[in-house]
Amino acid sequence: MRREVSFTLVVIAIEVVVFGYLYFQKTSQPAPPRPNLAIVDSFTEDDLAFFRDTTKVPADWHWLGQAYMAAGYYAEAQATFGRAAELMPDSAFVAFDNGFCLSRVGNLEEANSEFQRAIELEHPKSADAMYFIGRNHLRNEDPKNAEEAFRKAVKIPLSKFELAKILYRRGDLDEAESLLTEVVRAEKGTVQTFVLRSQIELKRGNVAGAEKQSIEADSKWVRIRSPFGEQRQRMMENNSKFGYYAKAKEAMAKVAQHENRVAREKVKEVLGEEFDLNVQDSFIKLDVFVGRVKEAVELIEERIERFGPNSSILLTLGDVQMLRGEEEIALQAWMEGIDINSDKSARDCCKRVANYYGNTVLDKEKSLVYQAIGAELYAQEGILLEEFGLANQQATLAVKFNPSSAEAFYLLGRSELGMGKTSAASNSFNRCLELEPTHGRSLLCLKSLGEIPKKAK
Amino acid sequence: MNPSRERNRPLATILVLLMLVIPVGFYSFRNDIQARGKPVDVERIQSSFEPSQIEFSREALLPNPKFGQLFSNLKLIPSTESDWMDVVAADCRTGRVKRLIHESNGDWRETIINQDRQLPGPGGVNPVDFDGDGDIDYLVSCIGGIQPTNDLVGRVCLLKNNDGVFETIDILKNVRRVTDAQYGDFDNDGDLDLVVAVFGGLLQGQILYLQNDGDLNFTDYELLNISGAIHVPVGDFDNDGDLDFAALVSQEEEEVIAFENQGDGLVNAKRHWIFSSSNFDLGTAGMVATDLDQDGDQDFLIAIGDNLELINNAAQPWHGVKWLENKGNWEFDSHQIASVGGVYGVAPADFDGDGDLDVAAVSIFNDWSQDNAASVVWLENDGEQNFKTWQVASEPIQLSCVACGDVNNDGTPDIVTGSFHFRRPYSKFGGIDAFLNPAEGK
Repeated sequence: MRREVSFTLVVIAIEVVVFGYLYFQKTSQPAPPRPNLAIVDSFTEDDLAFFRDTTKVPADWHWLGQAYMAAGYYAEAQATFGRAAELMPDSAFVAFDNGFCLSRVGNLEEANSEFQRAIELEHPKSADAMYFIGRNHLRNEDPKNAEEAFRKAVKIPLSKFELAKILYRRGDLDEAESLLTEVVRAEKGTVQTFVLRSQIELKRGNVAGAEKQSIEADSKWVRIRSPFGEQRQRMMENNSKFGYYAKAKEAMAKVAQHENRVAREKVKEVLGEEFDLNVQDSFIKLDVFVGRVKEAVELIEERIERFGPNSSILLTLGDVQMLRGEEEIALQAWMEGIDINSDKSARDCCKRVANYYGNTVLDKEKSLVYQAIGAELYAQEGILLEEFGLANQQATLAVKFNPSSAEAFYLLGRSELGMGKTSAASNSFNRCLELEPTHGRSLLCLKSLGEIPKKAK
Repeated sequence: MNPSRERNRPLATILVLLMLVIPVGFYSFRNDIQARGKPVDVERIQSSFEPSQIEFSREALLPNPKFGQLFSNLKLIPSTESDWMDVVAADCRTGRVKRLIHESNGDWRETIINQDRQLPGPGGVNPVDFDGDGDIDYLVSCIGGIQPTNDLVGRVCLLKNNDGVFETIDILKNVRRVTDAQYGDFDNDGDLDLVVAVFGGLLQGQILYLQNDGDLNFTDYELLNISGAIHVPVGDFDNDGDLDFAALVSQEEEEVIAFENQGDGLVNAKRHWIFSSSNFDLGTAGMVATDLDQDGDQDFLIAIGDNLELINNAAQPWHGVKWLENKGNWEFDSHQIASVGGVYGVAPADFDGDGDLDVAAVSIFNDWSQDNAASVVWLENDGEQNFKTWQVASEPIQLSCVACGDVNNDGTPDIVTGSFHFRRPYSKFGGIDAFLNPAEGK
């Protein structure tokens, strides 16, 4: 028995030594980097500290890197991804994220090595990795290698577009244009393609053609799908998984679900920690919804104090003041909204003022003035959105309400141009120039129609 | 039965169990063992520099702010109330152009120029007697607000001085975001015309020339349809006696395009691409014209440090200050004269009084996680245009604009900075601050 006991004791001793050594080896491994958490809000600080202090297995390192990167601690994120890559040398995902983070801190050569490794490890977005390699070569002022990478990632339309740009810069205009045609086939109506087409035409000396493309580009809103945009979206999603933005998301969800009491507490807690425009917007909406209009006005005033006035916040202020029965103040806010910007909110301010004069105080003349401005803004929006029929209706109204507005005739011309009515458009631009001979945009449109403006004649 | 064996049985059982528990336990809990060694090394871009040998002293010209201020541009002009200098600033937050009057007792008094109405995101301000009536008016470019938009929110306004009461006149509207408007008599007809940088929205921008008919009526000419124009400094860059201008463009392209006046105004201006980079991420943020090497022609200083692609910015190794050296005949050589993260504003001055031009630079996006990250630096010129970076201040942080001049009339140029603080960290706030150069200099 004694022999067995002794044997067991020896085995235990060996185990203690071996596993003790293994334990020591594990604990003495490098710990995660410790960023300066004092510069973020306390929710984010707590969560990042928790992630850091519970990082044990390789996957934890990978997540910590993503969390650091989402919170803007790029240098620490890169060091963390670097460690994750050591622990998971076969992970294509870690290699990709490490490459992206290295790009972010401007370490381009190492970034490209990591993207290359992600490709070799068969990352499902290998083409994206190759696109990023090309991008980094461009950032490194190396268009030759960038071209090579973009050619390899040519199945991505943006890669093809970047290639077209390189060729355009080099003077290979025909090849650039043929690539652009392929991009357009894959992604129609994207703004970059029109801009580059305009540049190509300009380089060819075709000024009217270039201007035509520029005018087309003017009303395009969509960009070519970008792998960088996808990574940005991923970072934002990660950012809303912890800390301040997780709390903010939760609070805004409560607002959306109309759980008013809980929502109010949560929103207040979040705003008390750090001011965020979206959260504050929710708070304003919530207060208006539950009838706390005085509090809503205070929030709006705080917003204006911090970020200045614009037509959007002045529109809301006017609406809330009207709810309080403060007609004069509401009217003043809307009018300031019209004065300060020329966007959708300014248009809505116009509508409110026109309605007020038309329906409440029955001042038809004043109502007409604002209907005219509003119609111009509606028409402008219609043109920007390429809804030329709607723009035409509104521009026609604007001309009717205010026949001395050069801008109204210009907008009418633009809508007619969009509808393919070039002769009518030409007339409208010329009417605009009769009223305002220096109206540059009308002059430009006439040039794009191949006409010499009457003024210039 | 062996009594001794019987006695030792519990001990043996425990030992056997222990023998099994140790490896099983280690195996089960191995993933819970935390690494506690030295933290992984973090490589970062240099964010702080040797302290300046000139001991600049900070003076806040406005009361301590409770939150981030949004000053986008500032200029120094002679004070009306002392021998000193006043500061004129464009305040994006309040939509006001402010003049900080330097009173004879040394205090600063804040006044608002555009009292008649607020402006949509005033981004640039130029004091100038625009209408030639002998008093100072202000030319203001408006970006429309601090949130990017594709809407037609940009404006150029003239704050016209009518015997001390300012009237806001819209010179240009219904265009996308405007980042700069500069003036000059380009057509040599005795009145001031304008060049305008319409930065644009998504990708639609313009460089415009607004020709004045002498009665503040302007004909606008699109000189180039391009997005991302930031600044359009004016000067006689080819020394032929008429005014040219150059545009710093940053969006899809990163380049500087000069527009050569061929003696008949700018309508037929000849374009010269004097700088371009394939690095679309270069981050050019501002440009001023100055004869840095004092060889008799105008060069350019470029601030490099814009970095707004993601919700959190990152200083890049190529950020800093570039000098475009005018070699004549529209040839310019590019030199990186400082590497500092997130530089947004630059201004030249001879800080050490040695007769050559040094440069002040401010940073909006340095690595603020580092306590001592520089927000203001000056670059000492050794006379051969080799520059050494000296750190002036590490707070306030997030500075967008800088101007240099002798604000306290002691014979040495000072540095005045404006804060544009809209991102984390929400601390070390500033408004408008002067960094006063001691009279004895270095």
